[in-house]
Amino acid sequence: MLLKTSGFELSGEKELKMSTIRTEALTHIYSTSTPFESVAINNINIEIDQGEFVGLIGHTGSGKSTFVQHLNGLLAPTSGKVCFDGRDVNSSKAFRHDIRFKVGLVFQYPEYQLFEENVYKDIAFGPRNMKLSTVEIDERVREAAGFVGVPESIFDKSPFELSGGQKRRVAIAGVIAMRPKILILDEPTAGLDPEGCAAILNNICRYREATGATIILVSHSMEDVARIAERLVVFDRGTIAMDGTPADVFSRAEELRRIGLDIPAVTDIALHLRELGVDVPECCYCVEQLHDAILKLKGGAAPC
Amino acid sequence: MEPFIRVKDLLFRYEGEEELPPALDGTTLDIHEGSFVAILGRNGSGKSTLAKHFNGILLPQSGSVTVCGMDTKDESKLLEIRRTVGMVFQNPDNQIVASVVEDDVAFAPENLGIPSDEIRRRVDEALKLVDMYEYRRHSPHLLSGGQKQRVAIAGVIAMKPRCIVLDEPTAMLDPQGRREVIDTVTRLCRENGITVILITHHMSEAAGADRVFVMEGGKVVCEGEPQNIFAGVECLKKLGLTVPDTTELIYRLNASGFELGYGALTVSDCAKEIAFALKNKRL
Repeated sequence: MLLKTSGFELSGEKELKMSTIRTEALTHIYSTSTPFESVAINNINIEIDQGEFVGLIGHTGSGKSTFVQHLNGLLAPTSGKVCFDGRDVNSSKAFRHDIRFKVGLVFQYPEYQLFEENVYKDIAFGPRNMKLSTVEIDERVREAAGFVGVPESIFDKSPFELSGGQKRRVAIAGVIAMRPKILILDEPTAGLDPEGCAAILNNICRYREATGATIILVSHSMEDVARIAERLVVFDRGTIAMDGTPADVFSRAEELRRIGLDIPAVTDIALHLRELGVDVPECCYCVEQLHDAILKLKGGAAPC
Repeated sequence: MEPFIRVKDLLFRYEGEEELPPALDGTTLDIHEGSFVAILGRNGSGKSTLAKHFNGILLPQSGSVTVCGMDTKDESKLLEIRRTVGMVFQNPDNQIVASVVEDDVAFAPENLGIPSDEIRRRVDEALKLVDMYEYRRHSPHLLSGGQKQRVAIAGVIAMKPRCIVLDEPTAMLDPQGRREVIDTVTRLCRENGITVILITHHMSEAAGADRVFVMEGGKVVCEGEPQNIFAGVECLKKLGLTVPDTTELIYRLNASGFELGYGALTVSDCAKEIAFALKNKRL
């Protein structure tokens, strides 16, 4: 595939394996020194390695969005710092500008940010800002459209004529066209029907497989993150309450519910089954796993 | 008995979409007073367009919508229809107008010209019903999504409607907010007899409804009780929908040789059904 060979031309990079994003005591306070002062995130220390697939969950107002906006320098920390490949994101204006292209951020309801006269130009907006050649811009637009399933036949259409799901894809393509090393998506499936949700999540997985990019998925859907993330980070009132595999995190049902979250329905069924004396593993979080576990029990109990 | 809401052969096409198929293309359905109805369907199937017909925000281009016997095309009845059927939309931030919770809830009754002591009573009652009374002097923009959405519901309740239509009210909410909103509307239906029409993409939210309508291409393609609708797993998948994870698990287990019933939609019923089947196997 084209993308596998194209690579990412990161300045001054020696080891690709090193930690890509690291925060040190990252704190952000809104409206400091006013009566409205509020601490959005407090002393966040986290390391996210290149290629990880991280699900970020937390109740409304837990600080998830504030956190991700620091990762590409949209917000500057009140104290602490964010490092990209070991270098402070806010160390210089030029580096912060650079980071915007390396860390792609897809906001909630990104379709409201479409503005160009046609789909092609909208997807090309990012690469054009990177001052790439027309040939390269064209290559990237087609490649990004391919990832998210936007057919070239609608390149000349106005983005406003498209359906909600298509608009969302065009908006995501616009970020992917910058070939970000880290792709952050804030609730990319909100408001889409089940088919649309599955398609978007598949597109994200494909982008990651083809490019080795890090994915950070902010979501309110426990089912979605359970299905595709490898690591879950749980925010609660501005701090990280849990950080582990989906199996680790979803085995803490009580705590999750206490902080306004939940466990996937499948995990809940597994817990109920255990209460009823059925010995399925605690850490089932997708339908396939629980199905297989139950089938094994059935098989195991067969001799009669 | 005349149903509470009757939609008959409804046709509606948006302006500028003449070359596209109509958004609603012969929609027909009846909704009975006091019931909890869920409407499912993929994006673009016509759900939201239909919702806007229930209280005359949109008017039929052909066919008819009658609410308590009142035709929405009859302009003299429109105010009465809007008092009867209230709407709650997806984004709570677009529906809140005042800077104090109780002022926001009072907005609609004030517009209806209701005397102020009656407004006071209605606002307090509505806020208690959605469990937001203790936040009455708070500023709405500092509330969580679920709380804001409950304030929006209270604003509708204060008009004393007989029916509330909610168009994807939980799409932007976290799990707790979703639970709050669904619990609230379920209570309003079960305890206060308010008809609830819930449009949603979350299949688990439809599981608690009395009746489910599935839309496709501007038509109702199937309707029934949730158990029966969700038992048609393959049919729903063809329509771009899914089933609740409880049903999905039962469906897959049955494909692997189990014989489980599709009636178990809640997590605890589903677990019981499976545990029972496994124990029988062991005997």
